[in-house]
Amino acid sequence: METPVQQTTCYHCGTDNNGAPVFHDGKAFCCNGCVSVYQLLTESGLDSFYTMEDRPGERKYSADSEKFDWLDDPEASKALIKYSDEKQSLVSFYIPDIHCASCVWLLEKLPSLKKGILKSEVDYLRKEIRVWFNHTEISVRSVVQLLAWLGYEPMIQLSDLENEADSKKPWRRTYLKLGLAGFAFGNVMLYSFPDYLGLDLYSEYLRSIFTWLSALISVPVLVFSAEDYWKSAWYSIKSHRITMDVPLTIGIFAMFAQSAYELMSKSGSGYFDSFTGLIFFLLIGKLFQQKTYHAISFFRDYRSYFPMSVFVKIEDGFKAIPLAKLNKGDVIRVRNEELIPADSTLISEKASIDYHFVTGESAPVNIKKADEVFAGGRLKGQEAQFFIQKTVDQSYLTQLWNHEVFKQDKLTNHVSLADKVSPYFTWVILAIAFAGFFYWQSTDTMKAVHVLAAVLIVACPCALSLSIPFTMGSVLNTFSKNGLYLRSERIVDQLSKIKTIVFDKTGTLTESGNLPLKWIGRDLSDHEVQLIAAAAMSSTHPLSLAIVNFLKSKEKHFPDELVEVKGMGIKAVFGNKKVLIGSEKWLNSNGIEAQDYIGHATKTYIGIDEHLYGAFIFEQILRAGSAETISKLAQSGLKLIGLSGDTKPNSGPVKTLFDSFHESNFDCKPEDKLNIISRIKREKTDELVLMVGDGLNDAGALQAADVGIAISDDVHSFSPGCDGILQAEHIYRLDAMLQLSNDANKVVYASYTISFLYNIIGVTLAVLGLLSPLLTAILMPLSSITVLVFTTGMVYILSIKRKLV
Amino acid sequence: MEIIVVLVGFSITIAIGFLAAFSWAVKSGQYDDTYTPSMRMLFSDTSKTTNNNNHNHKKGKDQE
Repeated sequence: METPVQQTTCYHCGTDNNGAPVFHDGKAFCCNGCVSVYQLLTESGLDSFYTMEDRPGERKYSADSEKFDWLDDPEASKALIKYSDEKQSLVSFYIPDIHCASCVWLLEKLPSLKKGILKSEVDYLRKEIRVWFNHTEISVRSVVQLLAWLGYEPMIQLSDLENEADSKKPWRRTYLKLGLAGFAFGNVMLYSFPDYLGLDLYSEYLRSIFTWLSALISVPVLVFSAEDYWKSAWYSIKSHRITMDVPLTIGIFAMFAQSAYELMSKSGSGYFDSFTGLIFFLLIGKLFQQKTYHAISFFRDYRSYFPMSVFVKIEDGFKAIPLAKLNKGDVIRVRNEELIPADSTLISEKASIDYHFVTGESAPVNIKKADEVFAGGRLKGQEAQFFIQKTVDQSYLTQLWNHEVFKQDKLTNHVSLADKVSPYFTWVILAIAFAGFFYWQSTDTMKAVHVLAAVLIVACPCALSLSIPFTMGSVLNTFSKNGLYLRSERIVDQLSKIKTIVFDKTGTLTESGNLPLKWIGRDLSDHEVQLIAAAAMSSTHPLSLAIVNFLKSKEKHFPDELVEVKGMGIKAVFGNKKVLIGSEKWLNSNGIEAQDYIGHATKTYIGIDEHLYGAFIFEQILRAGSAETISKLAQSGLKLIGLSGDTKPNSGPVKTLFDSFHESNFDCKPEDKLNIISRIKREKTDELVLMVGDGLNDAGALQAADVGIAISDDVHSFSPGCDGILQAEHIYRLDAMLQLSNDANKVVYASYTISFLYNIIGVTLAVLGLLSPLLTAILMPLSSITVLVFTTGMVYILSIKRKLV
Repeated sequence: MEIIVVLVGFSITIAIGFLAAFSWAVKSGQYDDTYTPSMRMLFSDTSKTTNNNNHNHKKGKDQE
């Protein structure tokens, strides 16, 4: 095709058009799919989309619309609809491909692209779209199809079908509580202002009005804003535990009771300002700490990995049905790159299955007719049919999830520092309060009651309760800037106690996905490259596909004769040239002497005519920085253990790395990994174990370890159930982050000391009967603000020291 | 000094007004997503006003 314009990238999606552009409107596109999206956008007047960013469009067309057939199942589509009335329905989808402002722009223009869509709204951080549509005009399926066609295919998971409550609602409540507390704090302080200045100018009449107003405003704060604290205190007393919320609640109620007494007896203006301020600061701390990572799911199970639907054989062809309806005895059709959802046997002649998720082994397995296939295997190459032997929830992989480690939440057994301190704290405060009460009682009963209340009020552990939220909130913030997202702030405390780290190899220490190829051997002429590519193209073996991708040959040759022997290699004859691709044995059996001169794990030899030309090497490369991190971690005295689902390598960077571990295990199956973690935990019960792994096959081990961190190339899409997700490119910061979590605990101790000092001063004054509402009004916010500034400031300074900012 | 009672009455009315406005804002979902609107406000609808008047027929429906 000859054209004056030399454009190599597609106008819509920006991908290389491989020298064969499709022209439309004077612009080059890579395929007709992009052209039709372009046409739709320009017709709808949305062509300014292309002026927004360099490469706005996403290319991911699912040409096969029958993929969404299962959405026609009324039960399935009903489960996806979040809300519905006579006029409209609301669906919401998670779309991993939302990545820039123009995505938001385009997706919010859906109503002008399709009749029947009423409104669409994107939540960028959650990568979520909410679509309101007229269900009398269009179906859920057509909405999904439109999205997929635009290049934004929604990721629908089985767990979506189980209707969950709108996760945004609890946040609204926290904001409302904070708003109310802030409103009350501001107003009550205003009314207390004359008191602060010691002004006696105003009359008793005004004072009582102000005090009554303060009391009136404070009641909703106690009932609504503070509800989490007194409810939690009540529950912990009922279960015979004393958490930090207990002394806090005692303080709050003492404050309220004393203020109510002063109000009734007209003896003072009470502690309403301190009370509302305290709740306000506590709620800010809560909001600060509760910073969660919306779009990241830490609780994925096997259902997130499986497809939503399968093609089942019926009398006349195949029909897509939801996975839950798959029965034993069904015959299913699975295509290239699709997961096999249940244990089954192969009906087709042969197939190639990649068990990477299940075993961690990266090379695919070839199977033949009637062989058993396990759920979780990914089909490579030609489509195949399978006979279902077990239902989805009874399959091998799913059974792993029934292991007992998945049934307990690790954090329920975890005792945090605050939980340890609070019983002592509560009893000591109560003892001091009553000692003070009895001391004064002999002389002045009135004063004794005041002292009792004052001690309880001033000892209220507000600064203490703020220490952990603000420290851990800042640490979580630093971590997230460095690509580590933790499930809860408690994990930071756990991380600081880690003594043993277990690393998985594949995908964690080494790069996952497409292994890079390297050619070792003599220089190849263009013609030879074309012939090798043509020979490799005739095979569906992943290694052949990798070679085809690597060579990028555009010329098409067809072999005159082709022989492929499974597990050995390919022989292709082009005229008078013979091309051999395959193992050492394959070349030897065809009269070419090939010797193992490379020593790397996976390789494919190439021979042309009677000569060995060289070999393609599939290298396992270590992730950038992982070797340095390992050596730093080893230096800091941690015990390091390596696990691998692969066989032991003879040489190369992986071997060197594994030699530096204290212990290494090869050929590990998922249960082996789990058992190794359990064994380490049994040997040293008081030392915590961190597991760093990825993928489905590590899920059990991640769960069994005290802290499980999943390494992921894309934190939003693919990681098993875990306590934290670390972006793969940030693995080199792991040692610094472990140090920071250690530092964080020290910061908490230091800020505990500060708040204890405040408490000692306050309690001393209270016992002596010197504590006035004015002093309380100064002391309490001051201690809170000191702790707040100290903790966030210290964490920031330490993060700089650890080079994490 | 009694005028203060009137002023306090005013001030608390205004403050309650703002509290009500805040609670309405939270309940109508304005705090659910505090990031995307910052992107949305920068979209210029130039093409829509110049060459796309015939495609605005659903604009009224856009408002929920």
